[in-house]
Amino acid sequence: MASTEDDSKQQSILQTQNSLDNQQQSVDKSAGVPLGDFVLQLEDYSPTIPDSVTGYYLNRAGFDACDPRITRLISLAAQKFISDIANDALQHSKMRSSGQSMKKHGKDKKMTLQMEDLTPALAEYGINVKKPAYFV
Amino acid sequence: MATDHPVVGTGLTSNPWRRSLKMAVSALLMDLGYQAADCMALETLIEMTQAYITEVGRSASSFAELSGRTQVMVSDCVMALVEMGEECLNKMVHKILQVGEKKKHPAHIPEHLPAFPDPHTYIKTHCFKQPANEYQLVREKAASQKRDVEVALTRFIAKTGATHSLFRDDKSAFPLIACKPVPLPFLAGLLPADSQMPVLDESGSDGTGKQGRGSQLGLGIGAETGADASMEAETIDNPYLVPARMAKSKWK
Repeated sequence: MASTEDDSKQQSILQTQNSLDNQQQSVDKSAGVPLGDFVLQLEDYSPTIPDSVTGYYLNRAGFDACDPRITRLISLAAQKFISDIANDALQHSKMRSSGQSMKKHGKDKKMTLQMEDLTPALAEYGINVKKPAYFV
Repeated sequence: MATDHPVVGTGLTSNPWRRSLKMAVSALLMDLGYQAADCMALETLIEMTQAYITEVGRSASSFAELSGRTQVMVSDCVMALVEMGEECLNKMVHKILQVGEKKKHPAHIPEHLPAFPDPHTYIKTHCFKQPANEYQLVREKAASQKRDVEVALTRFIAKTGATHSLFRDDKSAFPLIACKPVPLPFLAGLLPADSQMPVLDESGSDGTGKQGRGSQLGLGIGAETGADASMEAETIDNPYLVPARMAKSKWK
């Protein structure tokens, strides 16, 4: 599953960062090694967002992508961003459903991403969206 | 852009990249556990993804240009992500490899302008050896070259022309260039050379010489009258040395 791989990559980053904090007091210059290893790991991993799509949008912004690993790094960061927001929206919808229907203890059949979950999730990130509920 | 946003009401877009992005975002939502998504919510997320990628790309390329580079490096991407608020990567910024010391600004350039790039990128030092200027070495070199040239030339002529060998039994060792005897050897000493102007006292000995070349005899006789006359005799006799005659001008 891409998300588990994604999470494992994020966790590996966090773990290396923790080890880095311990090292930071002793050696100040070892920050480049974990990033270098991570970038090397990116050669095998293909993110959910394809390389060509990310490359297309980066080219529109003036980004000269000579190394495909950098493109994958950025697509991975975008994936993480979107996954975090969607995860927050999922938590919101679960809170909402657990508050509303206590009788149905079986798993909720259909989890639907809706604007009423997404709006508070985005508000935590400082993104305020106001979409009309119906087209006028 | 007109093609980026979906046609109202249908959710279709003609931009293939936007559609691929929609697939990717949908896949991410499926991984999280969603089975369905509101059209508007999905479009919101797609728009955010596109804006995020564009902003990171713009920011990373700006960071690269700030450092005087056109190609984006990993550290530029990391800085751009830090700007966007991705905290997990904020400790991992590594140095760009620097080779050699950058040159300092000359006096007329203020300090706040960007520094010179690495010196190896624009300073070229010629990699040939300085030629030896000392008199002794040059003299030695000239002498050895002259010797080598003489040896090589004599060997070449000995190999290709007639040879006269010193030793009776061994013909090939120490070949000497065979001398071609001239029938009248004393003639070369008597007749004056073409390149030299004869001095006045030579004219007396010329009378006994043979009829070699007319110009030379004329030269010998003319030498008595003076240098100019001999010049004239020489020029008149030799058709190639006649002075040029200017063509008469047609118009008056």
